[in-house]
Amino acid sequence: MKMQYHLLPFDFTRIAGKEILVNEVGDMMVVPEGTTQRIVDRQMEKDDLYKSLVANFFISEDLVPPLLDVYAARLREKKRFMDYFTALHIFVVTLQCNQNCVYCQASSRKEQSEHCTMSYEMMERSVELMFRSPAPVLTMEFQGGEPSLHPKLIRFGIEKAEEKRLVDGREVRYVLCTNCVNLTDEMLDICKQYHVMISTSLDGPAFLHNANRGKTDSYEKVVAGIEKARKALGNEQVSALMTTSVQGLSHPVEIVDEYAKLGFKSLFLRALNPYGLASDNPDWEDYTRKFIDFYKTAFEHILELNKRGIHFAEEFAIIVLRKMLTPFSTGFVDLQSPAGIVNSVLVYNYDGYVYASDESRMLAEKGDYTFQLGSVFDRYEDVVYGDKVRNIAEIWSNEALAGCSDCALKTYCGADPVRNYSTQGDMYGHRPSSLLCKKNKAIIEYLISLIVEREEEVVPIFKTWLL
Amino acid sequence: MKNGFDIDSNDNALFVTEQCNNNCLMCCQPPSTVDDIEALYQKNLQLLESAPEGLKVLGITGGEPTLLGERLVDLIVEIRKHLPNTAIQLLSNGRTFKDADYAHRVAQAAGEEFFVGVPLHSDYLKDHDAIAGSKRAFEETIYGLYNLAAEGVEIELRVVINAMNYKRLPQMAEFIFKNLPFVSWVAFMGMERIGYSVKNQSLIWAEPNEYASYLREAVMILDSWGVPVAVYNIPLCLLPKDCWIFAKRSISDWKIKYSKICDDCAVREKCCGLFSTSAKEYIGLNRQS
Amino acid sequence: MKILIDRNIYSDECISKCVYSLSEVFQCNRQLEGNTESIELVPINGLMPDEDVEKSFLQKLNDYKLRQIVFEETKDIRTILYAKAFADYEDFNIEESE
Repeated sequence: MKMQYHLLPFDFTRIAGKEILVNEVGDMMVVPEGTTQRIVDRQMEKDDLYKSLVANFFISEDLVPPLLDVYAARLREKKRFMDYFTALHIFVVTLQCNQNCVYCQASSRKEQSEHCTMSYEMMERSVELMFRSPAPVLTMEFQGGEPSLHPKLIRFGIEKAEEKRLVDGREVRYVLCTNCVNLTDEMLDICKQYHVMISTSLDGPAFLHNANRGKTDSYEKVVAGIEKARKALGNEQVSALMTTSVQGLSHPVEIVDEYAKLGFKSLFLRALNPYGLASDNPDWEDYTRKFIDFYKTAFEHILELNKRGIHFAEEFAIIVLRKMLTPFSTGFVDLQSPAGIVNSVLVYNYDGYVYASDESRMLAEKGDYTFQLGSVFDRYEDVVYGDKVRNIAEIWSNEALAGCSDCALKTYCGADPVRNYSTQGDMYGHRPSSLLCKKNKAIIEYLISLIVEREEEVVPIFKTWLL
Repeated sequence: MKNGFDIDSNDNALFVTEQCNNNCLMCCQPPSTVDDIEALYQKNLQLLESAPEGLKVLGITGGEPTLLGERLVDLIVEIRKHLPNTAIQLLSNGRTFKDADYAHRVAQAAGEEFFVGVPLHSDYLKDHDAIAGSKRAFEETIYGLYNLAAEGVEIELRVVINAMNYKRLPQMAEFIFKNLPFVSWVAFMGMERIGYSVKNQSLIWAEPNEYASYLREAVMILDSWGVPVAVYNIPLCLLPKDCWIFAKRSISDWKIKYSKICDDCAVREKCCGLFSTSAKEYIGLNRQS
Repeated sequence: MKILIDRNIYSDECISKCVYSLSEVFQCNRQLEGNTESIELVPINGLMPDEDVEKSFLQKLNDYKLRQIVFEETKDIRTILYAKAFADYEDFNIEESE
């Protein structure tokens, strides 16, 4: 029976024996295979599926859907991060470090080396640039090398920000990325005084963490540092990140258990970046394949913990699920369209130059200044609206990229011109051979397959992560 | 409260008009076309003179109160003169609030302690319009809700469960979470068996024991997303046990009744009971022990 | 292997997208004769994959055709949707000349 209705923009794919329909704001419907063909051919019946397609903005009975303004408001909300513009400001205060991690992307220098630490003048200018961003909440994140080697510089930076904040009126959050190996009382006092969040690096159990760091006592020190920081600042102010080294790929369960054992409530299962020292590692195809398996094994174990009553979440999944199951926006820099570079993050390097992202800065360490936007002495407008950014802007939305624009998962994924450039040689990128695409697609499809096949088991757990 | 306030009652409301721009199939206060606005306005002004100061909640109901236009703003201003701290509960189909300026004027007049109860009959526009008895009701109600939310007004979204919508209650719950996440709470309501719900019963009447499982699913969906939920007018014995925490003593005290079956019921005091105004009792009442 | 496609049914855009999506696995040589396009799929690493290549190619092609239909039919409403969502975006002051 041929029905009369109008199509609204949507895409589709096949996962776990079902057809998955996704609309323009990322609402997903799981339907029988062949539904898209029937919708397009007008072979629908006026049944519950039909009513749901209308109610969920997949089709419309009128040429202009009566709730178009509501749909537009929802779309606007999904891209809310664009209104805020750059919220995350990374200050690479030094390249000096007291560790020597196998996958370091900061190309850390020895602790004593000079000329790789931010000057006070650069710090002040960087803070001034940060406040030019219109974001309602600014996050000032100290990275390195090991930033805690320079507590006075950090205090100076925070105090400059506080001065400006009092006049400006906005909220500023502070984050210190540290390996926790040498958390002095001086550093902790600053964190206490200014409510600085501590983000540390923990790759898993001792044998793994130490192997990655190239030192035999790194794990002990990190755990002691976490303990110390928690005592001084409270558990909520201390978080940890891991990166999956090649060795780590074989230990998904141990890594999850380590985090749970130390009382963390979540874990971000992060893959290696192909930068810095990590690029000495050759077979990225093999790594990507193995990482996908690693992720699934670790994730199943996390689900198990939840079923045992332990609240424990996976951070990457949270972002994807928030996009898929809720009407709310997300602000994760690596999964955004328009891309997170500049729109959500800026990096102020120790040498006074400003970069579009942390990975952009890594390219500069290798002599490639493609994503260097300017210096802290330039005008804000020239840095964020200059020709370089305008050129990148032409290709930083996945809605308009080959291989992405017709991918059903695009609203859950993002665009990454810097990664494309550094791994494939151009910012636009070639999706079929992109390992980032392969990884993101595999994980997103895996999460969807869980919802399709094990809805009653997993969705209640997911909801506890999202609230 | 026909002729006076009763501070001990759970239901004090000003009746402002019998006219309505909807014609809901289950309406228990069927509309009339007589222009009674001015007459009732004057009557309500008089009533307000004797309004007790400590009144917690004052309702404004009809018909459709927003048909008063500016007179509604005037009325609210008068209410505020006498009762600055009383919570005002406006029952409205929300359609007139599609005019953002009007929503603003009403919200301004009412101030902080103000919430609006708005019915939603379906997530699918044609079903909502069919139940509401009016074309474009769905669209205008949704825009009205958005405008009220923009004014910071608290919204109670009311879902009156009936034969034409109960099978889509879970889908409605998802729709509400996705498109109306700003509502303060969602109230699922059993029908009162009076007025149109009797006249149209072959089309619209549904028993709680027919829809309880759909209701439960919808309640759980909203609750799992952190949206506050309430269940009104359905006796506890007809609700799944895990929905009991959402059930409220919702029936106006002057029209509560209990059945003979309720005599020794262990949860009688917690239960909302039945409408004394309903033509028949619900099927399947059973005493709990 | 060679696959013959009727260009009255599948547009150039459709075929291009399909071929692009396979470009990591296959090198595709396209030749148009009248209304028939012949597509030669040459596996890049020398080995033909196990699955029925022609069947899966035709399914992909069909999927892209469906997407193309949706795109064509929804072009206008999509533009209106984006305009409504973003047109009143407040630009803050850029003190530079255009």
